[in-house]
Amino acid sequence: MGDAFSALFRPSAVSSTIRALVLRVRLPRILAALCVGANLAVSGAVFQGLLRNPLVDSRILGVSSGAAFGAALALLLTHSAVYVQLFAFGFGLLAIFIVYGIGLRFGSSILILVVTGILVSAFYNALLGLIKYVADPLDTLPAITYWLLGGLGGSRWSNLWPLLAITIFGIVFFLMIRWRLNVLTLSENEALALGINVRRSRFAVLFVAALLVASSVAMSGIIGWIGLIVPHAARAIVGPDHARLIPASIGIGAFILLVLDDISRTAMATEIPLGILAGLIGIPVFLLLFMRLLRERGGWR
Amino acid sequence: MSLGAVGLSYSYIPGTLALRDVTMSLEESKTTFILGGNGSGKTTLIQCLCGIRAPKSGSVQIDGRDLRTLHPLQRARTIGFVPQIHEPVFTYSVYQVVLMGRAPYLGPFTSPQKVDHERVAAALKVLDLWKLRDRSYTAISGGEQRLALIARGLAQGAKYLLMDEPDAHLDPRHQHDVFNRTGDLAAEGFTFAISSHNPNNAILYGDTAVLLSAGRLIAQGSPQEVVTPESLQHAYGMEFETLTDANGLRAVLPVTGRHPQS
Repeated sequence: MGDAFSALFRPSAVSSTIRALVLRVRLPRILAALCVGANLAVSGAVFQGLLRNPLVDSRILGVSSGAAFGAALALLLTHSAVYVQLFAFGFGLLAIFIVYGIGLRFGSSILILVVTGILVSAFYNALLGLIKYVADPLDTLPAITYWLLGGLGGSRWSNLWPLLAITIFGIVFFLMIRWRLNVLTLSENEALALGINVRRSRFAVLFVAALLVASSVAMSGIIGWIGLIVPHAARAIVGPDHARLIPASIGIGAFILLVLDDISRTAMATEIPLGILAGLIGIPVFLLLFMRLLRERGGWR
Repeated sequence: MSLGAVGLSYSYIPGTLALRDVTMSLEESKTTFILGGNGSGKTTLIQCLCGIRAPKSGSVQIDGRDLRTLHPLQRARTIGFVPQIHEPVFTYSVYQVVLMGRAPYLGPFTSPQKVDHERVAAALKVLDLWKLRDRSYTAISGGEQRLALIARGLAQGAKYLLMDEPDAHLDPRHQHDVFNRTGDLAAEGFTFAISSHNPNNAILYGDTAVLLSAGRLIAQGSPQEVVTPESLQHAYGMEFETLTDANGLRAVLPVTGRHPQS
């Protein structure tokens, strides 16, 4: 711990090995964990709000499945980490365009968007199954499976900057638009009566949320539950007003994923995939916290 | 200032008109009741007058110009919509619900400023909701919910307040409270259009009324002129009788076998 601080603030006081370890390996990984946690949590909060459904999370519109398929395809074709990231990001974003393209033809109501999102997600999962089926079971298939379990072990400065840039853009965007998100959670007629261009605003917001999800999944693989539970935990603490919910979700999400990644790194001799750890530790812990908060507040409302 | 429909038609399903050639206007600083049976086009008319549905033919005119030529934000600062059901997915406080009425004054990337909070406080006080401001919208009574949505309209700065069946699901006491409030606000210069299933509310609380049947306007004028057994029979397909006293029409009631018409 002391060495880590010295490496950051008094580089001459520690050996070059420790300095390199902290600056080149740990620091990008820490930043990646903060970004991924914040992104999944804030996009989950945004999806729940705009789709007027507290049960959805960052995976709802097929972006995660698209990214998973893209990564698997890249692993099948090459083993280059750059292509894995690029394909994951590209196919993840493609999902939101398909969903919106189809949605627009049928009036882009929330129901249409959700149904299309579920269909796109299912189709991508079928394609992913196909790739797993044809992948070399000794080499490529384990690589795909392991990638899908989620982890941040591959984080380096060289592959971090796209995630970092998109995260900063997305977080600033959502912090600025956070109050308007309240209005976008109203029924379409009420939002229209308030002079809001509902379709354009909805698309802009969902698109930025999709950017965050795609860039995160491209970096970390699939980490499932954060986008569902963190927004609810944040709501239990600060209430449903997006002006406070958005910053709270960002903070809690980033913190939780950083802690989980530290545990994944240090708990056992080998790394525990983050996706698994998130489910094993995160869900029971959150359930306990959540129950306690609900008891204190006398129920959900 | 004036708001009204000219030759307005609207259609949800091609070939079926929900509104046919409706021409009417709201009287300034008055309460106009929009009456008619289920599916007669009341809600559609309200939503067209709000500008959230574009007419298929004809137009909605505001101050002599087509409502569609008005910028949506400008429109939202003039016309407020009070939906029949406001179902928040998340349990916003009364204050937050009313604050959303300030959206037409704020850019997408702006949060409410001091002036917005002042307008919200004023609107809440006008409707005696100030003490309920921190309560969850879903935790207050149905009547208070209607008042909160009216307060949102006031915070919007709207001069026209269009309410879709505000008396639905309310007991007579709460209906009375809500309509007394709208009456007070009309006396202060606000113009109301209120759709209702209850013709007697038009008699009790309305200054003027229009009656719709199958998308057509079949009567308009004072409640006494509109709410007649003949026009109601046309609109609802059943017989009505009137109760009158020295001051005129008090109520209309369905004719039943239990109390044969004398």
